[in-house]
Amino acid sequence: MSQPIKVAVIGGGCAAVTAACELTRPELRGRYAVTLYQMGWRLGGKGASGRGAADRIEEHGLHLWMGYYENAFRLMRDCYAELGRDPDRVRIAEWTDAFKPASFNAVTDWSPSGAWLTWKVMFPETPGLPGDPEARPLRIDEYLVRAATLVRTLLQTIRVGPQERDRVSFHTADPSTAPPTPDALSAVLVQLMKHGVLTGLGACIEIVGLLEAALRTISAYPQSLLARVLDAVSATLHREVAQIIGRDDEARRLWEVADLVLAAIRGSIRFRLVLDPRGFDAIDDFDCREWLRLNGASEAAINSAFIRGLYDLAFAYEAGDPKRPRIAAGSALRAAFRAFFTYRGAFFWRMTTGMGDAVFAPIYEVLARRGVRFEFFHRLRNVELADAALDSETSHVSALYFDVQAALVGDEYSPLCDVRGLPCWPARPDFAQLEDGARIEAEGWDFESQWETRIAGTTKLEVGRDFDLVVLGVGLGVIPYVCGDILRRDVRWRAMIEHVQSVPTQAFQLWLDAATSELGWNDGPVNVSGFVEPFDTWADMSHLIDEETWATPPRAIAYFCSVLPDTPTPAEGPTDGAAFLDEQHRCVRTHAIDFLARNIVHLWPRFSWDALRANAPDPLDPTTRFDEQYWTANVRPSDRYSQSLPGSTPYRISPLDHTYDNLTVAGDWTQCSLNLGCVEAAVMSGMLAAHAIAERPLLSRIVGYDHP
Amino acid sequence: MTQPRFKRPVPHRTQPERGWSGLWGGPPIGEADPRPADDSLPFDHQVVNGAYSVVDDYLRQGQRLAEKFWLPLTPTQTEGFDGLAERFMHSAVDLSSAWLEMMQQWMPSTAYHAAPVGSAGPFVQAPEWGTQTPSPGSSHFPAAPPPPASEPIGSASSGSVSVLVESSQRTRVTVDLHRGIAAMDLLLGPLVAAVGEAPSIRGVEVETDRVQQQIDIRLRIPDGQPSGIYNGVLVDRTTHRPRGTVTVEVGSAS
Repeated sequence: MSQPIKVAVIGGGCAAVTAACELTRPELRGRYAVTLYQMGWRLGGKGASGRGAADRIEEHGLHLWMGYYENAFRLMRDCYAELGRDPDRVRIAEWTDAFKPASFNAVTDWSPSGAWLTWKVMFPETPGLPGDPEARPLRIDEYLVRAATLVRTLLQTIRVGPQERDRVSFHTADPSTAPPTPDALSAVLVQLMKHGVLTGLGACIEIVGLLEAALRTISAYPQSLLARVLDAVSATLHREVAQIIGRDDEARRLWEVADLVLAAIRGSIRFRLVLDPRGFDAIDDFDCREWLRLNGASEAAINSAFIRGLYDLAFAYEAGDPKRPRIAAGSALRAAFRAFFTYRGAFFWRMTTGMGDAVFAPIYEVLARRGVRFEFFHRLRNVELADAALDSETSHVSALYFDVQAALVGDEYSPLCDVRGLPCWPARPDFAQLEDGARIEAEGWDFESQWETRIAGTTKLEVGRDFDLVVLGVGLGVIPYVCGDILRRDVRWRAMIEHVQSVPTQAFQLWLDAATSELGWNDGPVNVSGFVEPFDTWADMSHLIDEETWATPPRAIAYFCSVLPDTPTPAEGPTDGAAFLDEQHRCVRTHAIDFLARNIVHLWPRFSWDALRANAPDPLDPTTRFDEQYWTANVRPSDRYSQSLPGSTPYRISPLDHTYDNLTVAGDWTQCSLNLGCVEAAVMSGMLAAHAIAERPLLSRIVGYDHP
Repeated sequence: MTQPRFKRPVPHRTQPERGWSGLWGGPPIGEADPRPADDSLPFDHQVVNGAYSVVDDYLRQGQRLAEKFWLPLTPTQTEGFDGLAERFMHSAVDLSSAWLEMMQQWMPSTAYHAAPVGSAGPFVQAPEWGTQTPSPGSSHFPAAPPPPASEPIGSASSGSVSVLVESSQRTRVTVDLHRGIAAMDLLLGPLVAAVGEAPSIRGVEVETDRVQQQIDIRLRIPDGQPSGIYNGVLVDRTTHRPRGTVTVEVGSAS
């Protein structure tokens, strides 16, 4: 057998580890020898978590997986299957032990009646499970049919009135009715328009049903006719529904969603998305709310709790400013259609432990078993390109420069700890495995920061000798720090850095000595979005209580997160970096305490500071109880969240890009088709990076890559 | 002797196929894509052109009108003269409307010139955070900009299109074009059956007069061509990127 090709995978987030998994699949028969270089002591990137005091789980934020994350779930299912954990010895042995449906969700909005209201939705279970074979995202025309079905059902629900609303199931709408012929249907639509029959909610529901039939064979109808019908339906509905929603909050919310979906249908027709070769990308220059409004959505609808919840989900606030909600319309619509119309099993899935332990520990174990070498405490400093003037070949990476953040006592670093039989990641490195570990610990070196300059040494890897191919899988925020050579020489990379933006985020976690019902929340475990800034999202994570090791277990656990307003980052240096991090950390603490003092009352009317678990609070200052909770300012370059701002899509660089013949990129910031900051996009990008190297997996196996 | 450096294989493509995969038969996407890799700049992100919206409606409705007038009524068509007249009136109205739309969109001084790119402003209903009793629509939020009033498609540079069809069968043609296509050197591939194994329609030609901004598409449908929908891609010869589609429904009902 010929010598394996040496691949350096840089980074340990979802994209990088996916690439490593794909390149070491057994069917490739050891063709690639992978070494993964990771800053600090743990894998996970923005999904890293650690076990702190009492084995409590400390996350970067709130992580929910969506039911359309087909590639990500496939990865995890393969991983757990290969790992073959003994369920009698390890409590999370199967992927179904690690992920559970989280179907109960809510968004909050400010009612005209003068109070914050939560709109609770139990998403129905759907057939199959994410990662099952035969996943097929829909075409745009198929999405439009489903969307019209949804509108019809919402209108029926509004029409029946609050007393009977529970009787209307979202599954009672029958989308399989045989459609009339296009001509017959056109004639009916024309007649309805001509004679002004379109009056009243009932007529609108009927015509939406006809529209639904027409959308099934959309190419058979004049687009202008469909557009006119939609205009007429919307105008009538705005008039009719206005009489209902003023006195019925539930109807108002349903109407807002119907209004948004109608706008999405109308826009898809007006913008000819069905046959546009760019698919949803064709409208990525627009902000999503702007595009919906352009296509007739009302101001109330584009400011609704539903839309705010979606923006919150994607941290879609430019520069972290809540007053600048922006996300590329096409990317948002693609994700929303996939999320609502193609999810399998459950709309959301939550992990039964920390994301590091549910996702990255099993991946680490599988990769280690396959022979992947891990070089922890290696922080990339520069990707050096061959001098094009001296080299007639295509541009390529000639060397990689790393800081060695700490020298090891032994040959390799063992990163995992044992939490009652479950392999987990610690919240801090194991200093005993590091040379000079006690001093490093005492001095507080920050191993996960680009700004930390205290290091144990440096190393240079040379092409041909140390590596052949490179997967650059670092976070978007890190690129300016490690790709100086590329950025100086490559205008496309400079444009990418300028246009594809990232944003800091903030999060805090509470351990409570009161159950959520005792705090005043009576509806069971929930995920809530669309709440006030600075923390728009709350998730009840009380299911994690048994996963931690408390002498006296808390009664509830709650996670909160949101974007964090961007501020200029410091110049490099331990003092500046540490000072900046301290300042941002204090800032998040202030936000959280203010939020608990002023805003949480709307969700937890009986909250008091005494509910926070604390061992040594200052009796004169109950807010000091917060200091024993966990909070984080995700401002380090590697922690920043990748956004999808309007107009940025063309500037993303694909892992398949061949500008450099021994380099590929991986991350949710790349052109990976989904183009959103999320686990699924990162996994897709990692699969593409592997394809760029090994031509495997086949592109047709990456679910949703060729999605419109 | 120095070992040759390992390189990545040259990819078949570097972008997802967003619009075409559901239309063609043929090999799996990405595994046998015959088009060369293209790393040139991404698509023009001006919003979709105005031409095809008009051409589409014009062709559909004009063809329908023509069919109603010139094709003999079959026994299944039970409508009488009145029905035919009514359909004619509808079609005439639609046609007029299409012409009006076309004129509006091709006139150089229409209200709309470029895609409005901005934002819808902050969420106006969110109360100012940090208040114990928040109220909606706080005054510090700037007013949302007024919504653009016109259809966000169209441009003065879309050019004009003519389609010539030679066919012994009833045929309906739809042409979808990107903006600015009249300035390109175009290639039209064979029209491939959307469903089934029917032979492709190869008698296709496209000619572009880049000075006059005129595109002539000629289609020759062989006798005996099986009924069905056939799709072809208009490709820019320079960048190899798809710039539009031609769809032919052979044997289509009116």
